[in-house]
Amino acid sequence: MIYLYAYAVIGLLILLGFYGVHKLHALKIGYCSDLLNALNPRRQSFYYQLFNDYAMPSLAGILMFCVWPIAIYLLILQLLCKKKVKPIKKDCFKVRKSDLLENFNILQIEYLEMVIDPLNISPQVPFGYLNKVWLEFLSKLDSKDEIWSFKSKWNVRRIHGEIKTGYVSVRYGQPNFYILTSNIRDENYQLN
Amino acid sequence: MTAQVPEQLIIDGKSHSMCADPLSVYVGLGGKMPDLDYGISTLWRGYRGTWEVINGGLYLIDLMGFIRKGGGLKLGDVFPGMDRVFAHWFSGVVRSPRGELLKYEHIGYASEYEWDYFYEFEKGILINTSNRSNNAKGDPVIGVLY
Repeated sequence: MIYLYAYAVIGLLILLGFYGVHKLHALKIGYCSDLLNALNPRRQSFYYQLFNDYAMPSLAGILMFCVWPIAIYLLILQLLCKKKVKPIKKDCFKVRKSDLLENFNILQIEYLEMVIDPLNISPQVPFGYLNKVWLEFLSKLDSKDEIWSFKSKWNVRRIHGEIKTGYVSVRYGQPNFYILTSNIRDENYQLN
Repeated sequence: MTAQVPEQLIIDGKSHSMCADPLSVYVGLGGKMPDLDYGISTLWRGYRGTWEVINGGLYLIDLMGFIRKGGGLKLGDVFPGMDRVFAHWFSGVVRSPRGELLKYEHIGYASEYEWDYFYEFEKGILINTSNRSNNAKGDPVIGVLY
């Protein structure tokens, strides 16, 4: 009998722990609920609320209390899986020679990329809020480098296409590092 | 993927949903964002921005989200000292659904409403607007607003 009591007490403590975490999470996403209701009006119906707010949590609570070792096992499994997930490889986009459009000097680019802000509140520097990216690009330039504008079509992990434009440093005829000025989804992209 | 909380667009003084994410373009072009908490399934992007069209320009005027190390995300965390930010980096079309919900889809921004309004921006400047009725059967009607 003592084992049964111990099992029940542990179950109750674990249930309280999970409930606390759930409440914290609910507090955090509280501001989303109005938006979610607008997104899916069914959320406000009596049956949805009965199911979502009472029936499911009660059932989950009873299950957790009764078979808490399974809940712990699933939690450990989830944590282990999280660790195992490999980060997605970074986009290895490269500008090709055939993407090059026109040769520019730094002054020309800085003139072209000044921001025209209707309210005049953006930083009055080339590339506006992205000026740091431009300065970083300039810091990598060598006296042998030319700067060319480019336009490239790129497929992102073979899921969808993008059209990228920007400026690229060209050394001995080979495109090298670049700065992007736009990255637009290619609506005409077709998966081969 | 769960239905996503849309961005908010204020235009002509009225607030609407906006099914586009111009801030992700900023990040894609090299802009920096704090490390966000992406744990909310209805907000995979980790934040919700409020945008306003002022004098024909697209401005980010508010930002809500959660920073991983704790605390709420504010506009000043991405653009220090700014209370509105001109989206000069953004070119493209944003969709703003209006009217009654016709069909709920539990994925992304796929739910269908009575109307879709489209706003096309070039370097943050509004250059074209159109709308489409999703009520009519057959081909949707496209009309220029202004």
